[in-house]
Amino acid sequence: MNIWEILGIPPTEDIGKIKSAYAGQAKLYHPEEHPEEFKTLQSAYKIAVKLAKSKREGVPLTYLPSGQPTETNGQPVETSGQPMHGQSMETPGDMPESEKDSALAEMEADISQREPESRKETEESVFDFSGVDAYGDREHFLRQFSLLAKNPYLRNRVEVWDYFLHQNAFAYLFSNDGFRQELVRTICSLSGWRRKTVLYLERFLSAFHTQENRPKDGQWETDCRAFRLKKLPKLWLPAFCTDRFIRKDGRNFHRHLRRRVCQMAGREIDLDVQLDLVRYIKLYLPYAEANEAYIDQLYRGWRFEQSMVFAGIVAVCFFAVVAEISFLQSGREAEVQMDYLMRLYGPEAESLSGEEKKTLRRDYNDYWRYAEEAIDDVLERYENWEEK
Amino acid sequence: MAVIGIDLGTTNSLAGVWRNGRIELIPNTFGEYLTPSVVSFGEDGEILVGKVAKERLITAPAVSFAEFKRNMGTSYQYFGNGKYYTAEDLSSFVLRRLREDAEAYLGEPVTEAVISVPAYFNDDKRCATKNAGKLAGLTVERLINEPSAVALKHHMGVEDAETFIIFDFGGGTLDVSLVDAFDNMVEIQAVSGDNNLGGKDFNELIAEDFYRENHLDKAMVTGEEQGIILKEAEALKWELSRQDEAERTVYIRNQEYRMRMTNQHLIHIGKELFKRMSMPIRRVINDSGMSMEEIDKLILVGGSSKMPVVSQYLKTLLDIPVVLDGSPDESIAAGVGIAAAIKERAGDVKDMILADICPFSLGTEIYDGSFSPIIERNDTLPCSRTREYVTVEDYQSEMTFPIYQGDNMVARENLLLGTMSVTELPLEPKGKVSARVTFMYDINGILDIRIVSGEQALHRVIMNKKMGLSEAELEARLEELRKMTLSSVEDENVRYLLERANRLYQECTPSVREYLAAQISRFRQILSCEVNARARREACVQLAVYLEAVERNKFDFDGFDESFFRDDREDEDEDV
Repeated sequence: MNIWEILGIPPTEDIGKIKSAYAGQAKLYHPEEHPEEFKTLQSAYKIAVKLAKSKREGVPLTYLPSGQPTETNGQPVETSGQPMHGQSMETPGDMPESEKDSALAEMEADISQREPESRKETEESVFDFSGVDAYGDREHFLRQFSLLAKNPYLRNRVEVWDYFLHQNAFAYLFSNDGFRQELVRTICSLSGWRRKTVLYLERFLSAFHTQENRPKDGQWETDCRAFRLKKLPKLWLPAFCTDRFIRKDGRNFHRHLRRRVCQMAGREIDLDVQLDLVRYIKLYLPYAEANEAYIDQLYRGWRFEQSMVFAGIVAVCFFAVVAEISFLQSGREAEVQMDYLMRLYGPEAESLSGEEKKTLRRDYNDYWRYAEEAIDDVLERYENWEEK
Repeated sequence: MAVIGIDLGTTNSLAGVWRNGRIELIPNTFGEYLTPSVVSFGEDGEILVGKVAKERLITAPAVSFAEFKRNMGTSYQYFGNGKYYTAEDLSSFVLRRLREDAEAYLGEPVTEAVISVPAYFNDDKRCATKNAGKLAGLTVERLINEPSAVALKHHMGVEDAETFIIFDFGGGTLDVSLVDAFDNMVEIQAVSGDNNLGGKDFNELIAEDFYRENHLDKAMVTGEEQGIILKEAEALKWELSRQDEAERTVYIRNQEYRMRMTNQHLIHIGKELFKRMSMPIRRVINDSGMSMEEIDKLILVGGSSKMPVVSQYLKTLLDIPVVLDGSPDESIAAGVGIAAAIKERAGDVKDMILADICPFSLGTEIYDGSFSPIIERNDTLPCSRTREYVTVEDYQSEMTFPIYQGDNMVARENLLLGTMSVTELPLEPKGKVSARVTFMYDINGILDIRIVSGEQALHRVIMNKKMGLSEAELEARLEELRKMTLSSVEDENVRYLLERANRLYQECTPSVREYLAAQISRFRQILSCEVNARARREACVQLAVYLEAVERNKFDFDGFDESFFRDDREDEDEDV
């Protein structure tokens, strides 16, 4: 029997009709008395509903409206959620700068459009819930953000942040000041940013500064120390450590991920291509969330390596300078010693062989400075004595 | 022979029955519908249940027990009256009292009941509930999920089709379910919740804030005082439902402390709690595959949902109307009553159908220790699913199927219901030998398992995992408990007043204690004399009013005014 015979109606896409037919049939086959028939009826109903839903146009997303009130001088203004059908994130090819700007501008327009639409019962909501992290979204977002930032192959690619920060599900978070500050704090706590990435992030965040949103003491959150440092123009430091997972297992991990994405795509992938990059991110995130400790280990390992290399170079420079100074010192000392030798032994000092000079120097090296005064004294007396 | 429906809650329990074409809640001896789920042992070893026992939580905390619903199905034991009791035993006392009240109300013996459990209760806890019913002398064939009961009650008499979320925020648990109701069908789409989130968390929050504000160290406060502080915190919480700011005075060791709270501050310190409240909602919407447009409203049920911060938060979070249930404490009992009637196929409701779902996944463990679900969570009941498993090693001779209930990826972290093995498999290279495992789970919570492999066929029915507690043991325990009598109901009112006075004596300031002691002794005096029923009632009422005033901290004493309590009839006699 096919499902329509079981339900007792002609095939239809009207869910209401399907439901009434199901309810009607269920009266005849009540589960208490006819469990088997009810089971068949129930499966038929489910399949019919699924068919009807799939034929509806558009993809119904389980989009949850944020309803998060934004902080505007303490007065809660709710953003009512509008169900947005997901934009296709897989835009082929790399987006040129101008398009990126326009995408950002579109985003801004979207946000400003959403804000003033408040609900009918605004007067009833007297409490400010902006501090509450509903659904754990903030925590989730920050976690994913830091995991992406810990991956050196993704960290400084602007396209990655372009995709990640513009996801629909997290769009509402950025209008909250407290959250943006938290985000900036997270960014400052991670290292490895390149200047262009920092500039991009700053521009993204400053898009959420509105007229009412006057910064405290004239400071935006993007004026934090780390941002300022990175934005210093033309400060080119040679890269001591290539931006990648240094340890062998880190490199293997990346290679493994790439291989999986290649398998999924069915071809060789290139991380400069937007589509492949998005695939890589989508594969990376769940794995990273499940193995946070491992990613953290790799990141710390890279940081350690970098600081070690940096320290090594600094040490080398330091020792070079020290060696230079000591060399110079010893040169000058040699002259001074020669001078004194001359005065002591007279012109014979020159005729002393290198060996003897060296021996003399070695002998007197330790006591030279302390003996200087004494020698001066002796010489004085000697000269005086000579004069006399 | 009516089937009653019982809501066995963490803080309060109720019973309801379908009679005369509608649902009727069964009042207890005080005439109230709510019976606190508290059990206390009296001096003579008698068992006190309900309001009387609740008072003794403060005065005799060592032998009084509350909130034992959480420990159902665990081996946690309560020590009282020289013996150990499990949460099942304590619940059975409460159920027994409810049964006696029902029998008194209906005028006929009651032997069968349908009891409600949180949707998230696993098999252990469900079995424990059934056992508790059995120990109370009730046959419990079916358990109903609490949110499903609420859904039934709400759809009762409603003609239109609607899809709604039920947010059951009780004393200790949160249950969220998505319900699709149309015509005579009430279909549960998805269920989620938090077993450890409830009104009590807000009480603890207020208490923590109190300790912080008054710079008190929790370790320096005795258990009894902690109990008093929690109780004051709860009272403060209820005051916050009526006004935005509230304050109470707490007396610890003859020193006065202030407990203050506003709703906004409560939100600030309770950020974590609100976040935890939102998670099950998202899970439920995602699991059901519905979009927000399809959901019509959210119904708030449960004692703690009366808090304005909770309803405001949900209003802010979701874009749908939030409806506070008319009688949040009683909805579940009403729903369970309807469910009992449906089971009975009582006249009016015989067409209603509740299509509930399996709140947990049921499955087995595969070679690498991970969980392989056979029946997925949120599958409609009754359901039956089959999966095929193959051998992983060459010449493998045995396949063991441990049966787990839960959703954890690691099989061992879930609840083990039992184990079945297929032995003497034909020795063949790996992958060639397979076994088909069929799970059937029905609305009575009975799991039917069939395994077919080649020639062999195994069959097992798991309905009461704790069948390990054999029938004989169960009967023995039943006998033991039957010997213990519940306190008689005649003087319950008097007993209650005395216990309450006792508790207030402990809690209030020394200045009020004097007067309270005088009142109590006067009351006792009246009762010990041979006075008629009317005088007794009057004395009870007087004492009750007095106690109420003391409780609300509103009693303002200038001096002990004898004339205030003078018996009016004395004056009349004088006139004559």
